[in-house]
Amino acid sequence: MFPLQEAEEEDSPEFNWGAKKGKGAHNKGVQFYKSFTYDGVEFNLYDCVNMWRPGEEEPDIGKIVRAWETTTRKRIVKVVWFFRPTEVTHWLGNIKVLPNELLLASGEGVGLSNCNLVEAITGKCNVVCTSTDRRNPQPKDKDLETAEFFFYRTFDVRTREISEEFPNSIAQIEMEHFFNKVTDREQPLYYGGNGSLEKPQSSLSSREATTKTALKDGQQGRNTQSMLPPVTLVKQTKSSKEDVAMPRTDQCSTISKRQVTEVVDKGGQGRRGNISETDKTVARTEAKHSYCTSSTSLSDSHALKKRKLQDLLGTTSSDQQKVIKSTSQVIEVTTRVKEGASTWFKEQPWNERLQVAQERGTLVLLENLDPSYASAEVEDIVRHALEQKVCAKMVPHNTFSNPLNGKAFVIFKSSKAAENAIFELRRRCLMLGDGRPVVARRGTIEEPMKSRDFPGHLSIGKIKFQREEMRKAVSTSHYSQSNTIEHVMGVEWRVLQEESSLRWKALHQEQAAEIQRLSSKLKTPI
Amino acid sequence: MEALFEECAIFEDKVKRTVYIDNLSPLAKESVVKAALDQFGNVIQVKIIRTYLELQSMGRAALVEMQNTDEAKTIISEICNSPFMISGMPRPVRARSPVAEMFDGRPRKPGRRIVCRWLESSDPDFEVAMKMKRIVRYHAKEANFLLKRQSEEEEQLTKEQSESLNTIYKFELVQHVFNGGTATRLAKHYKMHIADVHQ
Repeated sequence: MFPLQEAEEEDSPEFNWGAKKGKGAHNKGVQFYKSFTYDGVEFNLYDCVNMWRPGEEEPDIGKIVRAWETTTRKRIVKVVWFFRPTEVTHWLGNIKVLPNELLLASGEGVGLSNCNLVEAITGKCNVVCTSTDRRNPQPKDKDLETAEFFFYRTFDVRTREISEEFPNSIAQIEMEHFFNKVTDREQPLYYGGNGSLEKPQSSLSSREATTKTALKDGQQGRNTQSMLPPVTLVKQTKSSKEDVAMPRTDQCSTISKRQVTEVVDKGGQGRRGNISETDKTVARTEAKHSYCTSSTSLSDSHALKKRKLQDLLGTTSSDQQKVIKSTSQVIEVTTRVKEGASTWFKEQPWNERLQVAQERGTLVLLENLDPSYASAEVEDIVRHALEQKVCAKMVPHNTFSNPLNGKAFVIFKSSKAAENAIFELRRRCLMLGDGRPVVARRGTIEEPMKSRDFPGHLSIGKIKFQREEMRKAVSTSHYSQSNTIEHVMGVEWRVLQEESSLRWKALHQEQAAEIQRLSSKLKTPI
Repeated sequence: MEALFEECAIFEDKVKRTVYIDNLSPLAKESVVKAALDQFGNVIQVKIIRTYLELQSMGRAALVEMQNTDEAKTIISEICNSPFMISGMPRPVRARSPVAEMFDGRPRKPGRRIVCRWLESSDPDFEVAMKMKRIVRYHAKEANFLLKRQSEEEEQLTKEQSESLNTIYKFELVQHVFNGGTATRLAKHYKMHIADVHQ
């Protein structure tokens, strides 16, 4: 579809309308379209998209059913929503829901659809319909592999019922449009972020002002506040650490590279405050992006998703059974009386053991433990939860460790055991007493660096002063005197050090608040 | 149980008496640090900490145990107030009072009962837990990024300072030559004329 009409380009992500569809019946100034290109990604009617709501971690998923531009040059899309099972648990009751399943909204009433500005879209979403309705083209294996979600049931927003029967139309759109497309669906476009810099704050505030006047449907829709996220659209400026050779069939590729970050709004902290904010916003985008690539480079997680989707589709026809309630056992971790001498490993100093373990692949790093654990307690936990005898040591904190997060190095007996442990901890969740899930990953240690490279220590290299005091002064420790260059430079370093400790404090506070928000959502504390 | 309580009490006392020093040059050995802080009081023990996870360019850190809490507090406040350098200039060390987590080999908390459980995907809390795990990983990456940024800034400062130091020394050298009369003598020897610079 070629862009036949170009909208004016703002200093924000590019937008172009595609093929026209017709003018409004009531209002001739309104122009409907069949497609549009936003920030380099082409969206057609009946595509599924992610839309981000501020304060929510997960985006909402909806299907575009209409797109138009108003007389005031606003670009609106009407979306019919998909419900996540977590959003309708109240009405699910005993019905079993599969992971990655969505429910299509149907019926009439609040929550069926919304009209929102195009800018609320954060990316395409790959949703497949697996219903056996005769109007639905059955998805091929290839489609199932690349799908992020699937649906085969509807949730009626008025009667609050879940049904496998599809009506003739939803939101006055023919049902056929909601099923899988008849022809081969286009692959979601992947485009690399070409380093354009972070948007200045001024453009952000102007966009916020315009977007706050978002059009709402007559029906109040389930997003009662303006759908627009306070957005700093940061394109990726740094290349991520891993290779950015993301295969097309990869899950993450459907998420657009525009990472939506929150603007941390802490007013009036002066220069220091500003530094930490920009650092953090860029840090978050970098973190989000590299998380995306790192998780995709793990073959096991990809294979896992695919397996789940295939397996579970096979069991959809099985009768619906149990209630969703926590049936997991609470494991009490007891200490074991120390045996005489555990001799299954040689008693090398811990440093060397770590090195050896890393080479052998038996080193695992556990994070998000309670920082007040002792090393022996960690060993006990692993023993009870994973049934493995290990050797563990807590990593001591330093000035920039997160005070809430405890880490420990664990050496397993074999690399197979280590891999299994990581796999299990990734697949399921091991929850500790105060509502913390344990995070596991391969352990890596930094190599010790050469002594000469310490930044900040300068030597008066070429000009060798032979004066006694000079030589003595460098090698002993001392205070600097206030009228020397040394003092001035020393003070500069102190300033830097203080700045850094303030930054870390701010970062940790924020991270703690995030974790707190999430853990308050836990329903069944131990 | 009694023994455990006592162990904890001893440990906590030790924490209060200790000073945590970082931004330490890798050249500084334990003896150097000990000699440095001996000026302030009686140093019982110095332990240099190995950092496994963070970047090495941040420098080493040490836990210095003093004889009593007053000495420890004095050190911390003095070092905070004016730059104190150990084994090299001009980057000063940083001192602060440590927390229990910074120590290796801590005793257990007495009377603590640890429980844990596995969550399967059917569990209602599973989603939240997965989210938490993701967030924890994000945070780790954020922290890494901040660390890298910090070390970049440190290198920047080092470069600037070393450049200014070089220029200053060159300037001083030139001054020295002129002041000592060397310049005039050389000029006479080579029969060159030098402008009469201010003396």
